[in-house]
Amino acid sequence: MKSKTSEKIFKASSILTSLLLVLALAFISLNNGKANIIPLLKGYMSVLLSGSLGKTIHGGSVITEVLVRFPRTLILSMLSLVAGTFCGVLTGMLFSFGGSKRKTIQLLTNTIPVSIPDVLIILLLQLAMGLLNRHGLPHLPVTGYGNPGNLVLPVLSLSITPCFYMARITYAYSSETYAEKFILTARAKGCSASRIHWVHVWRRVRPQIIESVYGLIPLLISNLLLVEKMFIYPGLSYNLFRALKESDIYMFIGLTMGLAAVYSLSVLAVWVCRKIDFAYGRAESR
Amino acid sequence: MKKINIPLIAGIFIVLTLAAVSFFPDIFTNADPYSMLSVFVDKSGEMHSAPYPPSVIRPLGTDELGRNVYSQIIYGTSQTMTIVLIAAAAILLLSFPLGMAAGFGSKPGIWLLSVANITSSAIPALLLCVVILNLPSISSLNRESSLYAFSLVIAAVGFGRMGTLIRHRVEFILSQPFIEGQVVMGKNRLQLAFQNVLPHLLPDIMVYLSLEAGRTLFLLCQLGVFNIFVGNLRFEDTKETLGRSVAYEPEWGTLLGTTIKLFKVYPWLVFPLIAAFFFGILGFNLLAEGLRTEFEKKNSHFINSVKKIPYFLSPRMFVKDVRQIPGRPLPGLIKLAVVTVLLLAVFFPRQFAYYPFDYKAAFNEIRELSSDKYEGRRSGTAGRDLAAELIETELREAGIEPGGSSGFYNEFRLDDNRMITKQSLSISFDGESYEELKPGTDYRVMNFEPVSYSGEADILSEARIPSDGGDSAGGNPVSIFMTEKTGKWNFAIMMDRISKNKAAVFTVSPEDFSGLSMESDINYANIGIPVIQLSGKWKNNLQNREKTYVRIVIQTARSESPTGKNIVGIIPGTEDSAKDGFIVVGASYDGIGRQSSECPGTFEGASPASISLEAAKAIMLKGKPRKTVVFMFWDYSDRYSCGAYEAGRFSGLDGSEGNLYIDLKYIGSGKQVLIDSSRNSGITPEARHFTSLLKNEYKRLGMRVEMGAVQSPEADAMRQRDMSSVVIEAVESSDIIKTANDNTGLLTEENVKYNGQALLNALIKLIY
Repeated sequence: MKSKTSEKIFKASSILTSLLLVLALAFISLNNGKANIIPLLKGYMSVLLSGSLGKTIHGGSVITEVLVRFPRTLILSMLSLVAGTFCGVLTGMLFSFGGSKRKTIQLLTNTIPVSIPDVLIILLLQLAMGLLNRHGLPHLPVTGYGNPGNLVLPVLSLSITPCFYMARITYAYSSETYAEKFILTARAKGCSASRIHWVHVWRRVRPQIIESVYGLIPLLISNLLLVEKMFIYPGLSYNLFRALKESDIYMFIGLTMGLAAVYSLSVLAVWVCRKIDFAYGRAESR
Repeated sequence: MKKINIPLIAGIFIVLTLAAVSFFPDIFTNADPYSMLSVFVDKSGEMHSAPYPPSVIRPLGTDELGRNVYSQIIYGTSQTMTIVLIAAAAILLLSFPLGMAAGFGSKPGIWLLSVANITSSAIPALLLCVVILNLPSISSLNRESSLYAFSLVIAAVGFGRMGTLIRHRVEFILSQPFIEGQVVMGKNRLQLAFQNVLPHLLPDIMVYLSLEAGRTLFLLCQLGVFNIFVGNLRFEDTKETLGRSVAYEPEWGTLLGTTIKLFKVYPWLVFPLIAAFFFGILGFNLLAEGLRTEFEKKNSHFINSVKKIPYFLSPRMFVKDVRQIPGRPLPGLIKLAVVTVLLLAVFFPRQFAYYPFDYKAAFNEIRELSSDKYEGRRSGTAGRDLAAELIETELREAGIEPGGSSGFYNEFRLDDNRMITKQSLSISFDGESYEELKPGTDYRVMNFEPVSYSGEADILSEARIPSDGGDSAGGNPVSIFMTEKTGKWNFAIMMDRISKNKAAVFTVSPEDFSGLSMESDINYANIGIPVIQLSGKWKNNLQNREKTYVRIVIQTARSESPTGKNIVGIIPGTEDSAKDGFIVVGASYDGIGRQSSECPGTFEGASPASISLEAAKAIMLKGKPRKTVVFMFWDYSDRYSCGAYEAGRFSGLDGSEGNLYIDLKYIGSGKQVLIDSSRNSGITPEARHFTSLLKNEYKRLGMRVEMGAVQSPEADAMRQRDMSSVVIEAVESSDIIKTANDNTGLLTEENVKYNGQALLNALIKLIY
């Protein structure tokens, strides 16, 4: 118990240290490379103590700017997380039907998809929409924000890599489960292949799958940077790079905090799902 | 039935293909990746401007500067793979000792790896890389240093993951029963690590390395999208680049970064690049997957061979095998042969010269041409005539055939023979107190147009500079354009569109001046109004002023029309020059005259001309070459480069279409050169070959060589005759030419020797 707590403290302190390191680097980077960042840090501390996150170089309040962009990024990442997980799990379960262990499936769900640069997916989607537009066919907007249609392509691009990741994990766990003795017993009892797959195997792999969704979040946040840039989606990371380009230190820090909040909320959402699943599992076993 | 390991075969095939493309790009394409063609007119007279869509000649189209995308991808493979390999090696170097130490239970190792691993899993590597690589100290590095910085940053961001994998693997190996046996035998930790753990770890390291190479490539692709790539954009101001910031060296990330903004208009520019990235990443991932599958097999021959590598490389085993040669000769002899070849490759003395370049003679000629007797060799003066006589005598004595219209000379008359007789410029910010500017240090007059004006001037910032001319150029007769980034080529085009009701136009140079008061440029010749360039130090002074007033007087007078003297010498080859083409080597020999007693134009004219002359003499001594070589020495290079443009009309160069022109610009001042092959039309195989020969020769002799754009009116003039050009310029020349440094003070025998020998070596390989 004690070692688990100390491990958590260690993890938290490591993340905090690395975040501070990134912020220090960002300070130096935005301070035109001058390593003397003490006066800047002092200035920032006094801004924080006054209860705000400071002002952007354009004169606006950082808190307001972050709060405007935060829901946009949160919606985009949550929708992508759900879509990616759902499609991935479904694909993984379908591939593993009957305990298949084919190498081709491993290649299709792992090696080939992880080799596709995400920018290729984004550009192909944009090109497809451009072609539809040219031929006067119904199409989705490729840039901007404002209506639900604007979200479709970013969500699709952002959920493709997580989808393959989840498919691979689900496939691996399901294939392992098929080797268990209780599956053999179920087969001996005359259960149908579909019942074994969707009831016995699914019940066993569900908690493992939910646990592995944690691993999706850094992947999602990383891809978020690219997706928001390519679709000109005015979220946190789109403006993060603009702030870096404009040497807007306070805005950069505010947006980084916003992204950290999106990360934390995503972790919290998965944690809640895990707890619900745990409670459901206990109720089911009773 | 034995299963075929398809991922391994496919992975090895892709990685070997990438290696072959990196080492032998010439096999995969004939097109020069540096060759530019911004605009061209087809046979029907229609004008086309880059980027050009895919066609038979350019299978993947061209970029904005008219560079062949396919050729850029092929030639960019080498640099991209270098980054990938350096990053993967750096990751291994960082993670291997840490992973081993942590696996053996070292607390600092475990702590460091845990922190690195948590950091890399919590903070996206892309964000970390963008922040770090955006640091000005990294983003402003030159290409070579930037390559290492990039690789190291990528390694620093990714070593935690691989270190942790190594640690877990080491822990697993140490938990195996055979290790206990080794401990009982009395092996210490170091022996265990190298004799027992390492052989079992090697297969896994191969898998991890392959995966890391794929990840690095993936990251390079993402960074490219964010416009972060190896090296930085360089402001290039030539006829092709038109004063734009250009990424000159081909590299996949750089190409992606500079073209992705054009995706919606020119998709063919971007998709091949991303496809190349996909191909590379897939190759490394398939290799890793294939290796993993192979290593999972029981009694795999492959894994057994890999495990034997440490034993094979062990010096103790080498000594043992060599001692056993009498009884068991094969292993010992193979190892002995490999070691001998390696030692020979490292320590074998390199041939400095295929034929000796007489650098002492060249050095003395440079000193002679820089002496007071020649008065700075200003065109139209007695000093220039003396210099011409010297070169002519040397050519004749060497047995080189005359190629001019009258003996060695190709004489011509100047169309425009105006000279500046008076110039003064003052600037005021209140209209009352004027500051007198000093010619040469505060401003330069760029053409020969008269003006007399006193009054207000418009200051036009970058954003306000009109692209279409008209009234937006400001209401006052004088405008000061803060065109630091626009460049004079772009400016010249822009000026052509601006209404001619201006009295004078000023530009601001990106650099401070320390030189002379006049720098005529062909691009300003026909503008019709004076163009004055202010020194870079005036930029800040002019900004944020409510009003600016200028008083300017430039008076010109027509002088007696002097005669220009280009000198032409020919070394005939065994091939028919009319049919098989010839090579032209050009260097200007005139100077700016003695505007200042310390500035005799040593590197502007004397050094390139002398090096060219000695190269010609060396070729004559060596014997008849296969290809005909024409040596040309330009006059009037300082006045709109008239000599070169005259040569553009010279009948002696008839039939030179598709041939190669080699321009020597300011060479001899140092051991760093810039090679520009952007004017290679693609129809001259010698141009690509000579560029590659030159690069190799400079590198072989320990000189630094870079590819880049060089302003060369001479090469532009030759392009009008459809000749491909290779321009060689000394990197240091920008601080020397037309300044008080352009004298024999910086001249060294060593610099002359290396520059001359590299040129001669490349020429000999090309023409014999």
